[in-house]
Amino acid sequence: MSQSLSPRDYFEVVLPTILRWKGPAAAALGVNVCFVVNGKNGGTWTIRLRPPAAGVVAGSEWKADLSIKITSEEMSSILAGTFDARRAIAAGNIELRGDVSILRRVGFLFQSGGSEAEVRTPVAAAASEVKP
Amino acid sequence: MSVAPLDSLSAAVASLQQVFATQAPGSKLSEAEIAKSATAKGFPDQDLAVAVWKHLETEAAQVTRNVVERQHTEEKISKALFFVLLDSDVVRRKRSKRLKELSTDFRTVLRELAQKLGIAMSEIADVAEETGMGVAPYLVDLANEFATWMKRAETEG
Repeated sequence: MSQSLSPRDYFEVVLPTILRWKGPAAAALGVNVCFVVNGKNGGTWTIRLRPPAAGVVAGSEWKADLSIKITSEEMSSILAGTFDARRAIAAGNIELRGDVSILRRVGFLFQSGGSEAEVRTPVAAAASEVKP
Repeated sequence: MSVAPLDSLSAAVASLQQVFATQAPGSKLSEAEIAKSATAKGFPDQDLAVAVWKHLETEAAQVTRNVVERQHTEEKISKALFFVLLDSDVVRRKRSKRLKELSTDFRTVLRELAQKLGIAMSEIADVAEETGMGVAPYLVDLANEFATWMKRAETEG
């Protein structure tokens, strides 16, 4: 099922859902991350991890703290679980611009939890997910 | 990362494919027929099967280019099930054991998709820290901003 998802589906459907589940924990990061996906089903999306609620906005109108330019092939390999960061960067398929330290914080947010239970107890979720 | 939830969803898609794939878009399948054949093929819930069929038919109706593009392929069925599970009254209303299990598996797969992006971002961070990637453009931005500021300051005296 995940293999049939395009980057567009991922940014416009999957991520907004995940961010809703994560609730205040996601908004607490206080950063904007812009993804520019080049290629088939690509596009530009800004992940707003700021209060009052985290979400995904199409385009790059919001000032991004970090911009990630990536090919749609590499984005697909991320979704398929076959991504190799070193190879992708060496091949010039990923470019970064901005505060690179945000990568680790956002990476941690997406790797941790994200369940309906957390939506029901947003304060507990925020406390468990956000590290200083 | 578990494989079982994805397998369970794949099995659900496969059972729907047996029901839908042979049907041409726009064919007059009744809801009762869909419900009956979906459960006969092992799909967990009749109403969910009908909701997926309606989603597919709506999508197909929007495509006017050619018959092939309107076919209910495995990929399209998979996507339709995805969208229906994500946001459907059927899932919210009915809580049969099998539908509940399918819904839980779906949520697990969604979480895994988010985790994959998180892992990728951490791996990129590792390489970026090693190589100084991304820092240089950021410093260039700062330098450009500073140069602009200096120029403006000079102009304004």
